[in-house]
Amino acid sequence: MTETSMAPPPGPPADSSNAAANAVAAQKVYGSGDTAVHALRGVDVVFEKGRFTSIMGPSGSGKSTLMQCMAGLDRLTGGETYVGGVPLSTLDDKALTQLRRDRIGFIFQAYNLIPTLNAQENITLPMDLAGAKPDDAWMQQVITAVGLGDRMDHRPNELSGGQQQRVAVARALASQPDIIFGDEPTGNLDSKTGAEILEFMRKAVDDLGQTIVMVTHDPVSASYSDQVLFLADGQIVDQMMEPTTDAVYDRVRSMGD
Amino acid sequence: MTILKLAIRGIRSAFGRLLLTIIAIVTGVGFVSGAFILADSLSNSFTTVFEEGFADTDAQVIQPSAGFGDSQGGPQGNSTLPDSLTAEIAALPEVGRATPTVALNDPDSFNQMAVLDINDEPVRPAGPPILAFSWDGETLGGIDSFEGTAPGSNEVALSAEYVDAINLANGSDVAIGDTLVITTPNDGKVEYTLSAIVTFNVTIGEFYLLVDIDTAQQLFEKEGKIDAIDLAAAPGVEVDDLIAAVQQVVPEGAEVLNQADVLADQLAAFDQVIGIIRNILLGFAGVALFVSLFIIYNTFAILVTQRLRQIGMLRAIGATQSQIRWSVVIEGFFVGIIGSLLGFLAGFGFAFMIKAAFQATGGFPETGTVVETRTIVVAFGVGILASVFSALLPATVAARVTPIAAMRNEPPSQSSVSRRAAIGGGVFILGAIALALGLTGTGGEFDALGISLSEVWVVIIQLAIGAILIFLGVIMLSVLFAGPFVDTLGRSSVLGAVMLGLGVGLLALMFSIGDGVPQSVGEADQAFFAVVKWISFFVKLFVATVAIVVGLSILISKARGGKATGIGGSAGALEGSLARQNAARSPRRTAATAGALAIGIALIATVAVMGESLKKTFADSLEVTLKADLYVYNPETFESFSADIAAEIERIDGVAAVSAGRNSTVKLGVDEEGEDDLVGIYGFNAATGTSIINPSIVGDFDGVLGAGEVMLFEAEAEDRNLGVGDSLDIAFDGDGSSEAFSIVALFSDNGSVNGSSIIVDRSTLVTYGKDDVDDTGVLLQEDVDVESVKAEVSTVVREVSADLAVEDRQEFVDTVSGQIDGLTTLINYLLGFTLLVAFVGVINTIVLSVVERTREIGLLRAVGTTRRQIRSMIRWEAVIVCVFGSVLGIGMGVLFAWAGISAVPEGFIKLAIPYESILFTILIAAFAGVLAAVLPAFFAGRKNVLEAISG
Ligand SMILES: Nc1ncnc2c1ncn2[C@@H]1O[C@H](COP(=O)(O)OP(=O)(O)OP(=O)(O)O)[C@@H](O)[C@H]1O
Ligand SMILES: [Mg+2]
Repeated sequence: MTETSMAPPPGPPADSSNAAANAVAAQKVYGSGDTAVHALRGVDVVFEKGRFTSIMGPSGSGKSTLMQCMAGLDRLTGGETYVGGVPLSTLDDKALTQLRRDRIGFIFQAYNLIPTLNAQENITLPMDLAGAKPDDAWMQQVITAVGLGDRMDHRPNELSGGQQQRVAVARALASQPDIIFGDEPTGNLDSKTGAEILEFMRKAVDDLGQTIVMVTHDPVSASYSDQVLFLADGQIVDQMMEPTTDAVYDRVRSMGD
Repeated sequence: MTILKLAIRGIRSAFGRLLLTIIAIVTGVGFVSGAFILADSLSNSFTTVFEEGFADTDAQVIQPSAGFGDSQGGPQGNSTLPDSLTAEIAALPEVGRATPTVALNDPDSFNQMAVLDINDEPVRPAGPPILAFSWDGETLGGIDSFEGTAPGSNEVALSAEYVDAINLANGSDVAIGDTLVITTPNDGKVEYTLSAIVTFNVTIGEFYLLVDIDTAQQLFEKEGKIDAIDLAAAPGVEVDDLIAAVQQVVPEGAEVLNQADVLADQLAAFDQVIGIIRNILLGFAGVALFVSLFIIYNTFAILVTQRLRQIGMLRAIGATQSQIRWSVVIEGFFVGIIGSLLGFLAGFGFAFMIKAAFQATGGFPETGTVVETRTIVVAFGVGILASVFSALLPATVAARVTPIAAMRNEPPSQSSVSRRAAIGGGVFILGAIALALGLTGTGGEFDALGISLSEVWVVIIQLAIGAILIFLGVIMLSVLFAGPFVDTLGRSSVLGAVMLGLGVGLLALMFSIGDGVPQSVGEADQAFFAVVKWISFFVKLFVATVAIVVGLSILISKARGGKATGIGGSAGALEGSLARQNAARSPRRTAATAGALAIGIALIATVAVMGESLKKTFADSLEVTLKADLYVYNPETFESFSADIAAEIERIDGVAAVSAGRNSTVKLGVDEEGEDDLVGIYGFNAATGTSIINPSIVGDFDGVLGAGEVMLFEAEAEDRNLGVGDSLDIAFDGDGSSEAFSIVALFSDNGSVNGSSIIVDRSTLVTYGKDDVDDTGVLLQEDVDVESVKAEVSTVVREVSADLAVEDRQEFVDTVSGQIDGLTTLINYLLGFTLLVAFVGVINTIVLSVVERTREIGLLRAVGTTRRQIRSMIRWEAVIVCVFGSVLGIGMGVLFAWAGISAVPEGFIKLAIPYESILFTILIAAFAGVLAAVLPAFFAGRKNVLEAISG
């Protein structure tokens, strides 16, 4: 049994110098007036470099919103998010796009790949968009890690769901971003294939020093990470270090839904 | 270059969807390249022919005409030279040969001479002209060889092709030495002996009729005159020296042209004709391209919607807005390239085939198909520009897709309906202003940016811009009312009633005010038109019947509580209401689909309404103005004929009065720009004229004009600030002299006098050499048998000319209406291409919207909707949208026709609406909808349920 710490809801992070990304008093309101939805109600969070973090919480608690805002896909209505110390609200669309391209990786639940490009082309797409040359040694390492072998020139529709997700992870790793965000990256996969992907991500953190933040509903998936944040009603209500499946499961059950 | 790769892969994956879009570009570019290639090739052929013809001629003497109006002179309106000049020039030492030529070469009267066949009908094959020339047996450029001897007096030589045509008409061969009957412009029928059959090196299908120079002078009424002198230099003399020497002896104003100038001069007229053909084709190209802009825009707009997630994904992983925009634009660029390439090939094939057809029929020179660099540049430029331009807006929409769209399937933020309507309103108002400027003629002339345009062109351009802007405005505004319109129309009770109403209405119009059942076939050469009439009668009958049946089925199905009954009854059932909801749900898509069709229909409606208005105006005007019982004229060419005919007719028993009329052009001075101020003049027998032709004289003038007296058109008098009692200086010739006339009355209807502004006694025109007539009106005594007098008049007329027709009033009205119908039909056939492009556009949008709704259709199938029901749902949606498009198009067509008619000065033409054609068009549009839905409905019905839902 691993020791799990049940710390009180964290206050503003004392130290953000080691942060790959962090948020301060992040607020997000959808709509206005009577129909306004407060998806984030002042979230302070730090994602430290080289760490694998899971975000959990009931449906509608704001997990995807938090991730999207921290990844520069959407903008906050209050507070600030930083990637590598850069405040995202100060960036215009073009700068934000470049930041996403060069410093952030993404793994979505589905629709990760461009159907008209083959696996290899999908992996190098962010660098191609930047007009940058991929680091060959690194690419070789990533491609080997994906383990697609001779299927690298296949189109996504010729690959299984698990293979497609592995390509997506490889793409996220390929440009050596500061941080990778995944929104339920294994949500569409069976548990065995999901486990493969999670192993792969775990190895990227352990061996390559990658920083990963992942939204998940599954305690088993969460147990692959170093830390779990619990979100409820737009606020971080709890966190757990070195999570195990059972501990997470208990915690989730106790939160109710 | 990732963007390029993405674009190319995008095209490859969506190729099926882009195929119809490509067809749209192919049509437009095909017209453009076909127009240029055909024109260049024809021009090249003509050049070859003329180069042959003038190969032996170093120079030519002509007398350019200072005149105007109907040319009585030499080629291209040149005046004649004195006969004696030939000898004077031939005497010069520099001159090797001086050959005078006389030609019946008034460009308007190429066909005046013809050989009669054994049935006394002129042999005048459709198409190529018959050219009549003088020939001395040696020097006529282009002659390869001949059998027989050069023609002398009462002899004629014919080109071998013409002899073939005569043999074909006779069913037996004519031979040298045979006597031929020839119809001539001035001397009626003459009998000449065939002296030679001439073979030309190259022809463009034209026929030659050659006589000696004395005969030519007499036949063409050029006694003592010649049209030109062809010169060859004496051995060892430079052409420049020859020209310099001849210039010393020619009369003032005459020109000595070198070979190149002669060629240019001769080719100018042909190039003008070729230019007109080319510009007409280019006009249709423009229309086709305009329609394809819509189709391309629609396609890309829908593709962008379909690729929402993909675009969002690209944005999320770092594609900038401009990269996304470029990827769509580049796709447009490639679609443009493919479409242009295919279009260019189609245009080439089209030009090649037309040329091959010419060559097969008339010894057209084998000069090859000419493809200028300009043609390629323009064809590709136009195709690519159109495609890229139409992709721009969808590209901007694509660039606006947010990165989170990859996760949420939200549609891209397009400009809101109200914003679009506001822009549409603005565009519409701009269009209305342009139209108003054109109608009020406030634009004046345009002379800036190195372009100068006459007032007429300014008006035409203003109207065209106005029409285009109004069209775009209406299409954008239609987003506002497309929803309510299709929602109402789609209600089964409304749709049933509308179908029934249209069907019944069409039938009623066909048999009441329309032509009804076509009359029996008359003359043989009208058989074709009779067949066309019968076909269109039956098509209309069929369409009306089907509409009634379908309308009733829908109403019955509705009454039976939505149980589909009879043909088309499904519109009264669930399918119908689903179709209605689909059409009403996305007004933007409905408006876009309808817009593609509306433009084609708007153009056809414009032409139809204008044609109907012309016909109505003409018939109304004749009702009042033409009192003649019989009318003698040349229905083919409206060419003039000898006045003797009128005199002879007058002697026939039962004829009360005859008026011979002649049109011409005269000069009333010089306007501010130094251009000749030309107006039309009409001369008739003043003594009897107004009892036969009534120009609606203002006040009580008896219509009898004396010498030196004129009547002036009221509106013209106002413009010029003239009135009864004022004097008017009229110049009849280009020599600068004019004569003062006094205005004795004004008249208000110039339609009766072919739009002329001045009426004089015909004797005045005779004084100025215009002694032939264009038309002759015959008034009969009361209580005589019209038919028997008509037969006698015909005998007299046929004696003189085989080309003239004698028609009673109804026949005359029918002939002219028929000609207007013929013209509108021709234009509509060409516009039919546009409609075809529009139709492809409708199919395109429906296919794409079916693809877009794959998931939804899958759900419908999953909950138990049959394939058949899915198909009829899509079919009815197409019908509703097409009817909407046709109503939009017809509305605009009537507006445009009204504007076009109103722009004609003096309110000459009155608006008349062809209700029958309009009902027919709406029903045809509904049928087009059924057809357009065939392919998409097939796709939709075939969709596997699971695949559709998960897809
Ligand atoms: N575009 C939007 N417009 C309005 N409300 C939104 C929008 N996106 C999300 N919301 C709302 O914001 C809240 C948080 O949504 P979010 O997608 O972040 O939840 P989540 O925790 O990711 O849920 P799930 O586990 O179901 O994915 C929800 O109440 C949701 O309805
Ligand atoms: Mg979520």
